[in-house]
Amino acid sequence: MKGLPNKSEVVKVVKGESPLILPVRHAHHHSGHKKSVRIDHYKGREIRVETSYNFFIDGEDKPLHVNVMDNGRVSCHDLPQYSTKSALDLLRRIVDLDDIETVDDELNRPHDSGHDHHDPLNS
Amino acid sequence: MTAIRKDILSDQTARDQFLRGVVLLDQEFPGATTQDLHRFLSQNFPHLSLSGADQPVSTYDIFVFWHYVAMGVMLDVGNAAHNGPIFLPWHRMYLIKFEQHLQRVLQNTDFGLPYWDWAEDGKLSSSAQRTTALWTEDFLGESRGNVSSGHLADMQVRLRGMGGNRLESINPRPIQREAGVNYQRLPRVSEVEIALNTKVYDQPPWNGTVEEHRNLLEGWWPNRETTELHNRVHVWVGGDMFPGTSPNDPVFFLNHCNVDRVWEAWMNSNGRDYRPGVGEGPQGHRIDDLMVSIIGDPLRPQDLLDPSQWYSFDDLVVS
Repeated sequence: MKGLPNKSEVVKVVKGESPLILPVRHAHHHSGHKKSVRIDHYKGREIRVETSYNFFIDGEDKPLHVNVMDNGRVSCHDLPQYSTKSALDLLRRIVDLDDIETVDDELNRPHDSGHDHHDPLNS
Repeated sequence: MTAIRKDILSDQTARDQFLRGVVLLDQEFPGATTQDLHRFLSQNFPHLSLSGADQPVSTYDIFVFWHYVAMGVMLDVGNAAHNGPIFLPWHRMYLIKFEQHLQRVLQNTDFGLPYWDWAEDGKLSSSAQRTTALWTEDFLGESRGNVSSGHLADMQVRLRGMGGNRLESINPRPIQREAGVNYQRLPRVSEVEIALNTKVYDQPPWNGTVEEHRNLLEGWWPNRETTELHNRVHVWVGGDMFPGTSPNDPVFFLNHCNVDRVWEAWMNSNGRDYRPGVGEGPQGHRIDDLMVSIIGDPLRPQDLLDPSQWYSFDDLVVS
C-alpha cells in the first residue's frame, strides 16, 4: 500500500541490517548509582546537594538509576512514572516489580553462539 | 487524506479497528527472536540485560522493546524519551510509526489512533472510574487482574521490564492491570488546564523541576506528593503499565494519544514553539537532534511540530 511501511522494516535495526542512530555521539551508558544533583539559589548564594545511593536486595548489589527531586522524593528509571517519599519505599516497589515467575535463562547460556536457534513457528 | 484521531469512547469504528489492529500486530512475527534482541543489547547497550526464554517476538513486542531501549539511552537530563523536553516529540514519533503499522495491517491508510480523554473519567468517583465502559469486553477488557475478555484477551505479553535495567523474556501471558490500586483517581480537568495555561514549552534546567508545559503534562509536579496527568494514568492503570515495558498494554497508546492531543491544543494557543533550540540545552533534547528509532528512519523534534501531514484530531477541547 502506497506510503505505508513494510513488515520487513520492523526487524532491520534489531537484526543489525540497518544502523542504530543515537541522539548523541557517545550516549551515556550509566549502569546505575549515578549521582543525583540538586541546585538552587538562596539569598544570592548557590546551594547544591549531591546524592548517591547503594541499593542491596538480599545482600546483592542492585544497580538502580535513581533521581532525587527538589522536594526530596525519589524516582527510579525502572518505574519511570512514579516517585516515592523514601528510598526504602522505592526498593519495596522494585521487589514488587521483580516478583514474577521467571523462566530458565536460555539467552545467557555459556558458549551459546545463538546460531542454532530453534524457531517453533518455522519448524 | 490524513488520519483523524477520535475519542475511543465515542467512535465505534476507531475502537473496533484499533482493537483488531493491535491484536494483528501482536500475532505478526516478522522474523526476529529474543536472541536477536539479546545480541542487539549486548552490542549497543551493554548496561541493559535481557534474560529468559528464547522465543520469536511479534511486531508489537518490538514496539515494546523500542520504548524500553529509548529509556535506556541515558542523557545528562533524563533519557532519550522521558524526563526532559524530548518527551513529547519522541512519543509523537513513536505513535506515528505505530499508527502507520496499524494502517498497514488494517489495510486502511485513513485509520487514526483513538485517544482516551481520561480527564472526563476523572470527574467520576474513584470507584466508578475503573468500571466505565472502557473496562468492559467491548473495549479494553478487565481493569484489574488478567485481561481475559474482549479482543485484548488474544494478546500476549512476552517482554517485561524488571528492576535494575533488566528485561525478562517470559512465558507468554495475558495483559495484567491493577487500576486504582497505586493511585485512587485519574487526572482532573482542572489539572489539564494548569498545563494548558502555561506559556512556555520548557526551560532550564529542563528536568522534573520545571513548572512549564512539557513537565506538567509529563506529570512531574514539583509541589505535589504524587505524579499527575500522563504519569498518573500509567500509575493508576498499574500492572503492565508500570515498568518501562508499559506499551505492553494498548491503553498506553490511548493515554499517549490524549497527551499528544493536549500538546496540540497547547500549540494551537501558544504557537509551534519548542525549546531547547539549536545549540542550547542538553544534548539529545534539542530541536534538531535525531531521536532514537529502531523502526523506520529517525526524526527530529522540528520535523514533528506540525503533524498535519500525518493526522489531526477531531476535537482539541479537553472535557
